[in-house]
Amino acid sequence: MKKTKRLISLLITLCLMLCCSVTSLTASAEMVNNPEAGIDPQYLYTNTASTELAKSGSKSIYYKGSASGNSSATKVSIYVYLQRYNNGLWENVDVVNNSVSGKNLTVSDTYSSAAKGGKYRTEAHIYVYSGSKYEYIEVFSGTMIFN
Amino acid sequence: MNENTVLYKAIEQSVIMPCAEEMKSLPDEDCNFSERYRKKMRRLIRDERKPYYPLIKTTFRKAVCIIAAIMVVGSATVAAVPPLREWFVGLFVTEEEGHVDLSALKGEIPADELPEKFDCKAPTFIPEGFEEINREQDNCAFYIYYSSVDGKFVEYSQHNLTFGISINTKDMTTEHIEINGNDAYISFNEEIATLVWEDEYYVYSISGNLYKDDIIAVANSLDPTK
Repeated sequence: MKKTKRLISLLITLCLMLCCSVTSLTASAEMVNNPEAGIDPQYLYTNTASTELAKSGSKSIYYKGSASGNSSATKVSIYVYLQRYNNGLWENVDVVNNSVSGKNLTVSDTYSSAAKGGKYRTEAHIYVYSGSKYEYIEVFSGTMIFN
Repeated sequence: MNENTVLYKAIEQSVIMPCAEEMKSLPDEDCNFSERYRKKMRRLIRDERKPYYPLIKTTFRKAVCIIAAIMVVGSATVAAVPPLREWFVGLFVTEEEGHVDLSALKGEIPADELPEKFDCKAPTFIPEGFEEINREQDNCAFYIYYSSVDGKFVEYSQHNLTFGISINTKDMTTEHIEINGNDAYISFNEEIATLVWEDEYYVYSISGNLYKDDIIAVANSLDPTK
């Protein structure tokens, strides 16, 4: 009886150790694939970063992203993803991007295939450079139901 | 001996005594009662021993019935009334290391709840030395840009409620304040300030080379544009 208990304890311990190592490996792989994941932006070169969207027609959504760098900023790049909520996930349905040498940038676009009842939001990925260094910022809009 | 006593004696002799004799004549043997009968007997004995028990049992049953009825009626009423709103408007602040994320919306807002045409509001006060250089409007927002001869700038903007903004708070002083009775958030130092607030319909932002008191004065001076 004692031997059986020990065996069960050993098995449980091994399972727990295996689970922990798998989780760590998954996290490491994510970090390698997406270097920005898990790193907090330092706001060394950025003042503000923003994004928003609005209905602009019976089937269209206007969306945009903006960033304003501080005196150290030399270049700004913005990617704004228009996302639609589908089966529990946010899927990108459209994207607009641009870069400019300077401190301020706004990018915008219109998506013309919006579906009635669809839930939409924007996710802006903003890179603010100071020479060869840069920082990465993510910002989200609120969610709008297209009707 | 009164009349009652005579009557009792008569009953005893004519009814009780013969019955008692008959009982005595019965054979003394064990009776097998059914389980249902025994349960009833046990319940009667228990109720006899604890007279409050039936009262509690009845009250409990009544209470359960009333609660069940209220729940049924309540759920039917709730189901019959459509949800009033599935979104909330306010100034939602998420403070992180070095920055703060601000939004005015929690939940999902139907597009037709957003203003189709902007009720544009512009500041009526701008500190001395600044001049308006441009104003723009698109489907989401309304902007006014100001600059001064010594290269300073101020950007005022008015947005719909989907607006989300992240502002720098590194080496800045931050405060929760009020603008015209609405919640506002300010981040400032000696050189630059950013102020964000909402009024249930729009989100407003002012950013630029302004002192704290000046940026608040600009915000408090908003007036509908003609």
